[in-house]
Amino acid sequence: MPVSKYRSVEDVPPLTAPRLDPDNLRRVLEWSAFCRRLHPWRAPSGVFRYRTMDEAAAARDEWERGEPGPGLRL
Amino acid sequence: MAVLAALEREGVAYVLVGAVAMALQGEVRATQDLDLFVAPDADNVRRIRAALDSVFADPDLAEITSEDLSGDYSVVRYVPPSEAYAIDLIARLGEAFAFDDVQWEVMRRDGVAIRVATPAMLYRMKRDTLRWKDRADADRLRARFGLERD
Repeated sequence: MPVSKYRSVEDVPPLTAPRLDPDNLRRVLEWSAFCRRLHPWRAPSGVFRYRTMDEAAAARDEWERGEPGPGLRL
Repeated sequence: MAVLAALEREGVAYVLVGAVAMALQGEVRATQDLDLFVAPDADNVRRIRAALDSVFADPDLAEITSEDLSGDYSVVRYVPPSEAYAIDLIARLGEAFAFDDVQWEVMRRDGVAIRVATPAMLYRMKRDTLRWKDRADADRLRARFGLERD
């Protein structure tokens, strides 16, 4: 089997599964848990507010890099 | 799954979007976010709080308000204590999408009806975003489902 290399687990091409298959929820949970073990990080718990989805995504990316996000902590 | 069951039990007006929705549509990638498009009216936000409280019993949930979601904050994120994922409550995406604009269909699992955005809807939400992961998702959706670039 050939070896493929990726810089991030999120660069790995998605698995393709049947559309609206009830088992897809299990697939995404197991795949996400596996990737979390490869690259563990933790978001602070609580409620955060963002003006846009891009702002929310940027905060999440900063958490993943281990930096505090720009979100307003309530 | 407990969260999705609680949303149904409380009668929450929501549509699953984002990477989990993509996975249910057959494109499975890793994620730590559960993205929910929600109606931001006071009654629905009360139902959201009740649903999440039935799962997490967290006093922080009182900070999720209709005033925020209907007002300046179109996205409210809740990260449960001792959980490894975030729940994003999305009231609108820019001027393009509000809750009533989201097209969805139902997938059933373990007796729970899950409202999931259609592939075309997910594509339209993701294609114009700044984040490369979302643009890559849009490309995959377009290729798999034969969607027009429009």
